[in-house]
Amino acid sequence: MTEEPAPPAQAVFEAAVDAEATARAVAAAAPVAQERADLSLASTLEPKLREPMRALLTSLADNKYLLGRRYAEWCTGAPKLESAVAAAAMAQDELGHARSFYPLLRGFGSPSHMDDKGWQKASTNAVAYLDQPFQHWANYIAANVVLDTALTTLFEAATESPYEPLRQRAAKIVQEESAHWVHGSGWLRRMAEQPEMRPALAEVWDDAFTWFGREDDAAFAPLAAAGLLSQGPDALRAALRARLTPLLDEVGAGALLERELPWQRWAATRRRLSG
Amino acid sequence: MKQPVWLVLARRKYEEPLYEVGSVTADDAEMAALFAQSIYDEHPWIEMIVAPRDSLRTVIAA
Repeated sequence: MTEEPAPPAQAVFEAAVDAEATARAVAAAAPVAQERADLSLASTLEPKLREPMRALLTSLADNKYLLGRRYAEWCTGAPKLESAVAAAAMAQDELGHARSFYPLLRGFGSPSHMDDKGWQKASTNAVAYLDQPFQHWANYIAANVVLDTALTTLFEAATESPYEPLRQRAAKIVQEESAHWVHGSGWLRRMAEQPEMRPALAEVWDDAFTWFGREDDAAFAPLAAAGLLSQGPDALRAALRARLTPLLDEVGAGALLERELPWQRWAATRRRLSG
Repeated sequence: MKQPVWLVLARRKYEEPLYEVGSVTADDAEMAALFAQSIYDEHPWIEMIVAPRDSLRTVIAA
């Protein structure tokens, strides 16, 4: 038997030392004109509002990113073919939303998450419910109904924001999220009596409702006071509650609305519950 | 619980009629529309509708 000659080892990594290819890759990853324009708008914010806005954008990006990953894990595991495809589409939406926010962070002097090597494995400041893959389809639906809607409630409060990069993204995201609500509410009606559904809702509830922070939250409160968000933490919480109440009452899960929030576990700087 | 079947009809051009592209199962029209849009996205349709298969009436049986 004739032994095949080994391929030249050098060729395997040739691209990595090819200066021209590296330059092309760097150029492709550089912010496009619109992104550069968005970045420059960070400097138009009052200095005292830059850190709150950075904290808001970071939290939105991290939560959207991880929610997208968790949705994606169910692309092949949903109970119906139709929802498997819908899960893929929703994952794509969420990851797209995250992708639109991470580059904005460069404008605030913090390196974009995606610039780091191995960033996919880095820990995020997303809510604790997203730390682990969803164990059951009910966990997916609970996140879809409660957490995704909490994030959308925030975006609804940003559709008139004078900070243009947030306003533009918020309008588009609110529009896309209407389909996610149809999906989540439809499935909740169908699964309301399943034993896994109530615990899943209870589990995500505290994360979603505390995410807005306390009324004097160091990030959301000053943004609301300055008009960059139309509502502060308590009003955002009330808006989320108002959105969920008719659906929860309809499926007989209204008791959740009386749930006391575990503020003693709230880590304000990471915008998530600990423990 | 058996879910209703919804026929999905769509067209790509104004001058062509709606034609059946497939079906989805869903509890209600809203969910059916959502599923239809994400599954049958192979063309940039100008129009797509869903209709409950139960609403069809046989005129000439095969």
